[in-house]
Amino acid sequence: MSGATPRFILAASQEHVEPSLDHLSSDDARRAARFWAGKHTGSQAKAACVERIRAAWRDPKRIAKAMAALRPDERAVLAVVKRFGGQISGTLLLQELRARGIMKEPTREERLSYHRAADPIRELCERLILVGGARDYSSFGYEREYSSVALPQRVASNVDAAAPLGWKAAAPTAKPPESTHLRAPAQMVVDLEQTAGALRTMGAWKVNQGGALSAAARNRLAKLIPTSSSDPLEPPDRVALDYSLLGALGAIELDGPDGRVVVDRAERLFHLPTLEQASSWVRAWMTLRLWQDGIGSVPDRDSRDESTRIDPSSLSKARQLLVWALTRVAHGDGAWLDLETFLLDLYAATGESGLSFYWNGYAWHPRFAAAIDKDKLPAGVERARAFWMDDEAIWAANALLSTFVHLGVVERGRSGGSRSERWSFRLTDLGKAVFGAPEIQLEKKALDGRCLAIQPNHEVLLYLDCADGPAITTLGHLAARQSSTGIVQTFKLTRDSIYGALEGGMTPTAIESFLTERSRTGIPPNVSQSLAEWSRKREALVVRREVAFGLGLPHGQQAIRGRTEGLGAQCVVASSKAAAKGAEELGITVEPETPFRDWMVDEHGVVSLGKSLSLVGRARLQRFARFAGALWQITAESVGAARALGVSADQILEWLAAHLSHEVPAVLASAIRNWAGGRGRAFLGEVVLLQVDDPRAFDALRQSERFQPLLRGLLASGSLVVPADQRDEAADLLRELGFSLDAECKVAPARQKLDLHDTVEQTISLVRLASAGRIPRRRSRR
Amino acid sequence: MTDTKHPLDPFLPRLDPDEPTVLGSVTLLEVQDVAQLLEICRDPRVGRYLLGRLSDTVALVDPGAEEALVKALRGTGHTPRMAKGVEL
Repeated sequence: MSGATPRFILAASQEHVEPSLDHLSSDDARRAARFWAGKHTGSQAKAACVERIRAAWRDPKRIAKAMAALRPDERAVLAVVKRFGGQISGTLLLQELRARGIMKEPTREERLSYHRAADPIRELCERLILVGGARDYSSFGYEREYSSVALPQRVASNVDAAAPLGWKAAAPTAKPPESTHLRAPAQMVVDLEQTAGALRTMGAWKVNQGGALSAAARNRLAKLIPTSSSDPLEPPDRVALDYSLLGALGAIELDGPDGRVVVDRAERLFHLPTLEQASSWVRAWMTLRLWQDGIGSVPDRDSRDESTRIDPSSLSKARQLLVWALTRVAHGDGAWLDLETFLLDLYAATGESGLSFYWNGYAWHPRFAAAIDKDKLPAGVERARAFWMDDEAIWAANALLSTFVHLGVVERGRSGGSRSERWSFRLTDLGKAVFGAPEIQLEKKALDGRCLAIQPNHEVLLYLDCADGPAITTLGHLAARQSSTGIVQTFKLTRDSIYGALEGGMTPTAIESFLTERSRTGIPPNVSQSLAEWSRKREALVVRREVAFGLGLPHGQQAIRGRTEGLGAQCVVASSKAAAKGAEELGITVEPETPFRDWMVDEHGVVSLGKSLSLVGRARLQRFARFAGALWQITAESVGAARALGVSADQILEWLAAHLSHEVPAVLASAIRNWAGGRGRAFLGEVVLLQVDDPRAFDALRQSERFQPLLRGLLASGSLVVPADQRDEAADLLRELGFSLDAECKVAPARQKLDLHDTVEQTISLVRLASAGRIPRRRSRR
Repeated sequence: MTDTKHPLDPFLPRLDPDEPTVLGSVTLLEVQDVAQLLEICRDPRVGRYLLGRLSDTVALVDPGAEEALVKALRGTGHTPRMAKGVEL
């Protein structure tokens, strides 16, 4: 795929804007009309002025003439806006104009003064040459700020874009770094592809506010893509960064509380040329809300009590300014830049209000000389800069030397020991093209696309220095990643991975030709054989959904046309539509998908069928019941046989529930569970029962020291069990205590509804306590 | 009881309706030969989701158990091709 000419990284995508004439005040309309249409002695009413402006705009010569009359500083402003794609944020506009010397930063006195110098932006906006405008005059003493401005198309065609700005370090780097680190851009493509692939296997996942991964989804994702890195400055929460980038690039869509991958968008993204992909990553990075440099994943909410994240709008501004600085670096001399010097230059260029926020606890916190003893400095410029170098500059350092290195657009350098370390950086070739576009372009390497080496052990080596998006994406579909670091990454062809690729729509031929075309070494014969074998095994077993079939059909019938091969003379497999049509022709009723619930079953397991037995019903019945003497009956043997075939008690009960017109008798359900292996335990035997009606007497007996040796335990409220061999002794003691042993044993009817809580549960807990030697006092019932 | 002359009968009886029968939308499991079907239906982890056989190479999947069957097949080392509709 060939890419279009890359755009300036900060260029806006929206190019067509029009000033709203209807909302002009009468004064503004008169002023704009005078500029566009010249002096006029007729009506100065707003409607007439607007009509004169519209007439002028329809005349290209008139527009060119008006533009030619602009002052040089005004033309320079328009050239800057044109460079930014016709639309620019107020923050960047101000930086550009100051860097180009078109506007200068006001001195302290000027800031405090009512006097304002000529403002070309305001004047251009008033004359409708620019759309948008200033919002800086409402408060005395404030820093001048602008809102976004845009260049209407009719004006843009008369303006040449400004030339790029360079970047000159305040002090040149003394010597190149002692060690360097950079990452192949293809590594980022592999990471994103693997993350998208893992998310795809998750189907849908739960998201938190703002679309962040829920904790459960994050854990699942982490298991699917284990990450290991040899880079100590790898971005924190790397998978969350990938996820956030995919979201910002439109490869993830949110549907209420669920997220899912938009597969075709992800595929399109990974197939873009490397430069376009890298530019899109940087553009996406500028918009991230759920992941922050040097911090990692952050919630999309703030807390009054503790900081949860850097303020998103402040961070967005900081990211814009950092990218703006890098666009200037791209047009510099390409030398290594000392990190601290660069950050001090950035502070000097953007001022105290440029990058301005608070955070504490970055993943990487380099110590800058300019921040040492910041607390001891007297109030003033130096102190403010020292504090900035210990907060905002740390964020910028993380963004530059961690995030951007990870994205493959920055190369990191390091010199000195642990106490005297100096960090430096420079843009990679890709980085220069990303930040230096459109003037700087990526040199196209003559690649033949052979970026793989396939080994006899089924491992596939991916050479990232010559890998492209399509190769990475396709390999990700058909091989499992084994290593995630280094310029050569290892994948493995497995039966499962090839199965996944085939189920994903690839054909065996496509897999073979991809590996052949992309491999430097061809496909080893044993690997080729494995591929063929795995494909054949998949073809040998088919789960075919949404089909119909007819059985026991008249010989030679032609009404239902379909597949008959290997099925016998009276069977046909057909499409649902063909089967329905043919069945009607043959006068056969198609069995309903939901069975009639017309079976009955009794406690003996005898099944009484309804009017007719469906094929599915009969097949199910055959699995767990026996047909004998014209009856279907569920027996211990039939359930045991079903169990041997893998059919569980739950499955039998589910089948019964689907066909019965009533609930399965509870005792039969218990029996089925018992027959299927979960044998229930019961006690059946004789006990000597001591029953005392009077609750006080009952309590007295069960707590009596004399009686304790004669008690085996508690059976229910009011009932104690006495060991059989101590019955006589217990009788003697009871008589001695004045009890007469002529009371009737009182039992409730067995069918009486049990109060489970008060009876069974209480009894069980009492029995447990009794067996532990802790019989509680009887609780009074309210 | 079903006749047990066929090796599949104890594990997967042949579907043998009393009268002509048409099922409108079902899932079938298709294999290459009777030995493969025997291997699959003898495994209780998979066989539990099959109801009966149409032939020596085609079995009826219990309605509603399609996902579970595929999961069980994958769990026992099989790699079934998922197909939809009839292929003539």
